[in-house]
Amino acid sequence: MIIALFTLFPAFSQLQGQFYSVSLTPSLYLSIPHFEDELPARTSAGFAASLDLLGYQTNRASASLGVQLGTVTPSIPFGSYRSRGFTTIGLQMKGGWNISPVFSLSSQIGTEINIYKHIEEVFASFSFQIGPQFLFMQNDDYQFFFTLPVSLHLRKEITAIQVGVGFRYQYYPNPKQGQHP
Amino acid sequence: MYRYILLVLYLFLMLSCELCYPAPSRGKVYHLGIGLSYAGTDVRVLKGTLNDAKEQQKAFNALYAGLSFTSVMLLQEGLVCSDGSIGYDHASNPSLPTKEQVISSLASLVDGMNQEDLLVITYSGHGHTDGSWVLAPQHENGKIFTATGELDESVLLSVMELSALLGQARGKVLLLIDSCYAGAFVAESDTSVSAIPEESDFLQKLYATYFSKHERNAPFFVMAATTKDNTSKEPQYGSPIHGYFTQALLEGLGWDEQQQVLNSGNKYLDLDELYTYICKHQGIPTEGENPIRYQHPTITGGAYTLVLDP
Repeated sequence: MIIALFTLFPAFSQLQGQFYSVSLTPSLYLSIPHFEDELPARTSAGFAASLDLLGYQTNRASASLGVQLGTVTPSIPFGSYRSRGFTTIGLQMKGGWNISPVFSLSSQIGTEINIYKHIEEVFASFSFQIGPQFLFMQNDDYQFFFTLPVSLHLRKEITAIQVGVGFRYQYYPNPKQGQHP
Repeated sequence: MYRYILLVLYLFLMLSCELCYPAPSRGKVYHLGIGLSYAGTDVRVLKGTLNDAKEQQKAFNALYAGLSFTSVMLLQEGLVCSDGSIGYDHASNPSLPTKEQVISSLASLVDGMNQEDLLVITYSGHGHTDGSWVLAPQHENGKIFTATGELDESVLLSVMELSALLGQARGKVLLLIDSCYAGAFVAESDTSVSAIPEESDFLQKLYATYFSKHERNAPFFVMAATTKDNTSKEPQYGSPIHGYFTQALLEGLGWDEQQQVLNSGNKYLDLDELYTYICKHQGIPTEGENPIRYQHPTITGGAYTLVLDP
């Protein structure tokens, strides 16, 4: 499947080499409880900022390691309960695959420590993310992407789906110009 | 299956379920207020506990004015004797918060609850070192210590006894405790770890909790005046005197004691907001070097908080 996609969409990135990147993503955060609740899912708003310090881009793919900071608001009050808002800090590993000069797919796995906003309770979680990225601006040493990530936030008693719209700025300190394969 | 199809549809349309589902009915609210001054007994008299219990009842009555609100008050106030001294209450008084009376009242309230109902229990009194409530003795002399100086254990209502009783409730239960070592009633969450005690293996404990196989218990929410290893305090002077925790709790609810009205400025009051208010506004620090000079309120952890505002 991957080989077929590579054949159909020859990969290409004009800028290559080591990079740093910053992503900002506001999102809709839907908490699906593993226990009986008044609703199938409770809705919150989320915001995540990630900073990739160790990144490398080749002609076809990219990989990076970074940290993520985020926040999720308490859910909309409904019935007797409300899901608690929290602040999150985590480590993430990101991979990207260039499908065309402007379109790439990004995926991410990570683990987080989350602190509830109003109470002194902390919980661990894992997350998976996938989403398309569209290159809409670049020059000799940076690229700007428009991203549409969909994440799964795996908490012990809740699985959350996060649908976001964001931006990603990727800076190449020593850029190499790529070539069409 | 229907529920999951709807969920997929909501996700696809990026709609929140809160906007699509009809609001559930709020049910009835039951209240049990327990307050002991220990006047006429052989333990230290508390000046603020009766005020705490009485004002909390009024505040919750006002908060749930639009709902069916049933309140039971169990108060130990002492009696003024003919010589002007303070004696112990009549042990036969059905409103005296003896262990038997508290258990009987709770069992009756718990039995009568439906799933949509809320039971609010407030306790203001002494707490034993294991968190147990020190209730009114059943004998006329009001003695809590035996002749040998030992604590009469028949007056203690333990965390396990109360938890077992409240675990049978079909509806939601909120326990507000202003007593020493009250944090013992705040059960450790199955999903999160408290950050109040600083532990060296905190990170390991965090991930161990994630992978543990404990099932989520039917929750009853507890908000306690202090941690399980510290005392709860009240000021020596004031008019009227309240425990530091309860004073802030009443303010957080919007209760104006002077005017006897509830100022409902906070539209979506949930338990976490109230907890935050108490931590910020109670008249004693939440941290310090000497435990006598601070108390840190505690609250039940987990993913959800309780909405108080009907």
